[in-house]
Amino acid sequence: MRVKSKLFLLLGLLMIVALAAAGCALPMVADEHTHEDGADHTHDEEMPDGGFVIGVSNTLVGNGWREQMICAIKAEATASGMVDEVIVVNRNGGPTEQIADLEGLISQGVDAIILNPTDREGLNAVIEAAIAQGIVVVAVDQAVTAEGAYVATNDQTAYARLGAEWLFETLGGSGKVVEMRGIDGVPADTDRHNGFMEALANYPDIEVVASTFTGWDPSTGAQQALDLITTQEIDGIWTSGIDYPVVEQFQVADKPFVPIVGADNNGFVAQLLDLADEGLVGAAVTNPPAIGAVGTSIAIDALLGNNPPHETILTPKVFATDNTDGLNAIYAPDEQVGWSTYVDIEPFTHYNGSADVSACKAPGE
Amino acid sequence: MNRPSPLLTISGVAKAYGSVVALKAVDMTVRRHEIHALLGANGAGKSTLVRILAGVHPADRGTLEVEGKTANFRTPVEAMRGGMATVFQDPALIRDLTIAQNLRLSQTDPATFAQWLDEFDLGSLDRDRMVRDLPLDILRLVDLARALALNPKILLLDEITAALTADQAEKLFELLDRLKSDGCSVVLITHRLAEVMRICDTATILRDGRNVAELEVGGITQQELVHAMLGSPVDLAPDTPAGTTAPTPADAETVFAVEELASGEAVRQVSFAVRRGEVLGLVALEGQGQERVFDILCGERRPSSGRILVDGSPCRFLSPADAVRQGVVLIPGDRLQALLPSLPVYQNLVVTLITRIRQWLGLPADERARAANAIDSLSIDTRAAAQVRRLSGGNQQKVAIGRWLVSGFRTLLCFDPTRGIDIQTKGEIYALLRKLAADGAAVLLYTSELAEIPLVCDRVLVMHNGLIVDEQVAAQATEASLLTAAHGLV
Amino acid sequence: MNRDSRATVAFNRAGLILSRSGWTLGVWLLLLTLLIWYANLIPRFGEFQITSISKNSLPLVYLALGQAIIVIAGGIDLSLGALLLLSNAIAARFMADQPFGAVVVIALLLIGLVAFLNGMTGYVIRISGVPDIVVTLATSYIWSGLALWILPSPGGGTAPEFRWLFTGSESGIGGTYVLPVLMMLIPATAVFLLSRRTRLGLSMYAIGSDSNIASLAGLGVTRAKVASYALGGALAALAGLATVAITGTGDPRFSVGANATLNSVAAVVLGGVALTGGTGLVLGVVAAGMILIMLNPILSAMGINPNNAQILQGVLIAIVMMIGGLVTLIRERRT
Repeated sequence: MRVKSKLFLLLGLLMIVALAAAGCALPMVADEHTHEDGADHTHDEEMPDGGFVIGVSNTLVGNGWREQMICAIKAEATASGMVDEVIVVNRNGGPTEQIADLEGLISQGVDAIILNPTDREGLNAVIEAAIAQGIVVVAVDQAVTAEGAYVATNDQTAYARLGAEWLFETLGGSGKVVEMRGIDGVPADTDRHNGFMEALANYPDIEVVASTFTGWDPSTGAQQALDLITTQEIDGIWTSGIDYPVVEQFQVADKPFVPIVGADNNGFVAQLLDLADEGLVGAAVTNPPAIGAVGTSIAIDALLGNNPPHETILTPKVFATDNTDGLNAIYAPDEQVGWSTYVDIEPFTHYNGSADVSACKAPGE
Repeated sequence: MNRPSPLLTISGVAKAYGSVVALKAVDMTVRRHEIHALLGANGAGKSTLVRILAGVHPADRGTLEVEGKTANFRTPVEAMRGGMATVFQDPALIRDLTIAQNLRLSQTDPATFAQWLDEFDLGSLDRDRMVRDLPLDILRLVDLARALALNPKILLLDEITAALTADQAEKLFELLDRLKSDGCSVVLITHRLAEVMRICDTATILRDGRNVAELEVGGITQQELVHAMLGSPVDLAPDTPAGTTAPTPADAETVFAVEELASGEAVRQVSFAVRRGEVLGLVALEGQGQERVFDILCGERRPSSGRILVDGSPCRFLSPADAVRQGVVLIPGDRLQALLPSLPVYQNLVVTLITRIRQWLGLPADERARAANAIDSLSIDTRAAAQVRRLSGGNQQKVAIGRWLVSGFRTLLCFDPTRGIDIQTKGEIYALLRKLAADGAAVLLYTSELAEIPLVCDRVLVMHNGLIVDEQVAAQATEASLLTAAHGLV
Repeated sequence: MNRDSRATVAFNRAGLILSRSGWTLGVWLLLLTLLIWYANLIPRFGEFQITSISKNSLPLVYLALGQAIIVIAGGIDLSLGALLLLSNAIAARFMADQPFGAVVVIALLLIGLVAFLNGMTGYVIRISGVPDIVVTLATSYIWSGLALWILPSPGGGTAPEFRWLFTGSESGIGGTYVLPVLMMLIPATAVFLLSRRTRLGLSMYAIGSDSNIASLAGLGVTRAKVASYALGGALAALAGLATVAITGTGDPRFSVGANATLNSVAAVVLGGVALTGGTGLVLGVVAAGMILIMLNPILSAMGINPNNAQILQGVLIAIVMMIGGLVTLIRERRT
């Protein structure tokens, strides 16, 4: 017993010494680095020509779209030949976690950060702190308002408006339609709903008979679709991306297809190609996770001193069933149904189609 | 006769827990300058009455009066303010705190506490030690000193001597005598009638939830007390005392033996052998290493050296399951350590058979019959059979023994199996142990009640300071001879 | 001679205290090791990193302190994360565009309100006899729902001075490390002293150790239980306030609260507070909270695949806990 307590005492003393040493050492370390910080700035401005380190911050794990976004970043980084390393920080969380992750990336001394932001304003301070240290910051998918940050987004309002206009036009300007939305309160859903309403305003004879929230969950969306098509008279369906499960429900219920708008999901594109004979009419509107690759391309441009524009908004493309060539061009037979097929975005991307993105290889991997 | 005025008057107190009526109607008067014994067989309602007096549970009916004023305590704090101080059977000390912290919690004055503790030569006890690191006898004395520091009018002591060594008990008795003359009254609950005869003035006897007698201790015998408790005359001894009618043949084979067992400071060297059909007694003062020996024998702990032999071949017990597989089973002193308190009696009995349960089919019919038999043969009172924790202590102990009857065993280790058990059930347990031995088992019995030894055992070992210091023939052993040896005076 | 023996006594006492708080010291030592390791992993280590780690740790450290107090008193509170969410939502909604003075008043009222709400939860648990885990699971949904109702989507704000108070900078980043460190140490020390030096605190240990015995010893079990939950609530409110100060906005999403609850339990376990109650020091929990926060940047700096980082984090906690169990086992074998 006594021997043990002495051992603990020794341990404690050791720890106190260590703490004291750390207490003395840390401020000195801090001082040294402020000098280095100054030196680094001049060094940064000297000669950037590749060998970059890119940090990626994402806060939604296990989501297919986000995973493809990260893979697109890696693929573009590899294809560019300018990047040495991609550091991905990927975990579930909100602004609190993302601020910590961004600070971690800053501490690791990355040259650029690509983030899918959890909040429009909450991250501004840390983003501006990064920019002040000479780091290029690109927000992709969703915007941030930070001074000096690059933003690359898909135009969500246009996504809904273009799809809805195609649908209403296909219906000849009149009929009963369903709006199948995503998650209530999420900015992308709000933007899309606004776009849908913009289109609707121009077609007075279109009646919205139902509006649901799928939660962007395939099984929820499928159930809702089945309930709707078996109980109501419907002329057309607009979906916020839960598309192929809805088409399947028509087959399950053995009902004739009605015109449907979805996203560039591989499964939906396949249906548009295969089921055209059976009377399926539809349109895939692009919402590419390759926006990550766009952000990477912008970041590299900025690092090379080419001063790209601070805001890049991709206008979605519409691939309808009458455009078989277009659909065939984006269809990726080797990928899963949830794969976003529209991966090559001129002039930003340099990788070679879905195969490169799907390989998901960062430089050196 | 001019008796002192009443200090505490209990009238018509009744209490039921759900459907179980614990107290029907109790009247009792404790006078000034009095040590008052509260006696009764297990299940008579003593513990319930203590809880009511201590404010743990309120009474359903009836009144308490302290010095003529109504005092129906609703919480322990109210009871303490009303002049009651209680030392419960389990010390009311928080295991995970130090003594000093416990004192602060109960707002005990450290100086007064120290003064009382000094009465037991424990003045030097380190107050920064954790309660969980201290032995039970010390804890009871700490609890007692804390109760005394409240400067109570009435001191309630529930089975306090059970965990005390003989010399500690001696000091306690002297102290109680002094308290009495200082004007503090004591209510003493105990199973040890010798203590009652020695220090108590009055005894109230509970039976079946009622007070059946109040006796002046001066004028009666131990036997009369027992009569009053039981309602019918019984013998202290079982029908067939050991050594007289069932002598173990000296050439019976050895079933269980240990050789030069040692474990740290607590057990220095212990060797003995138990033969088939024999009850071997073990006596010791508190804390002489007997707990450690039993821990090792039942597989709970590994010895630092020495061997355990079952049927002559050495065994290593890595866990109690190993010991059970070799037919070595333990009846612990704390019954609840052996039982699953919220399961019914039957399930507690068959739990040892769990490995014999066949998939989908349950227990074989003959095993089920054995369990039912065990309940019959042990005469377990099954009124509260739905949950073992609601049985009285004696009945719980019977279930603890019954489990092993159901599964079968060859060596039975009993650690103080009759602690806190009423006299009638004690008699039944003695008889049971003898019968088990007669049926071929080897029994090792540690007991804190020396009077049990000649009644149950064939031989008796005395342990002191981690060593076996004496062996006596049980039939010839007396309390005096055992106590002398237990103090190391051989 | 006399002096010698006094020194021996003092030495032995110091040894006793150290051996009893061995786990706490071990956790702090682990934190120190991780800090030094991290400092060597990344190119620069200075004030920015110290500030970053200390301020980012604040919400979890507060929440873990609250959870520790409740666990010590024999309970467990699955609603703490939801309370963080609720106070975060309330703060962000009502502090936006207010002057600093008003913000401080709101903060104090909020701490009082949440402490009261959770104290009531403790009271309900005690009176009804329904297990802690059930009641707090139910209330966690109530508080999360309420948070969403008050702040339907991310937004709101707070005063820059309030952000400075927790983060050392009015923008929430890159400030001095003095403030976040103080904001961590002051509540931690206060809670520690309260838990070990006051009757109320010791009562919490007592009811966590054995509420029956505590009641027999004449302690107010209900009072201690309610106090533990109220204190836990107050710390959850503080965690919510720290979150507002760090992000400058409110975020009412359910998953944020659920994550926070699980992390607080992990920190409590890692910090040496047994989930069975009655043992452990809250100081260890502070270090444990910081360790959990530091694991992410460290694993990332080591270049570990983010998908494996979570597994590694779990394995690490499991290993530390097993070492703890082993130490206890060896100690028991020896005595």
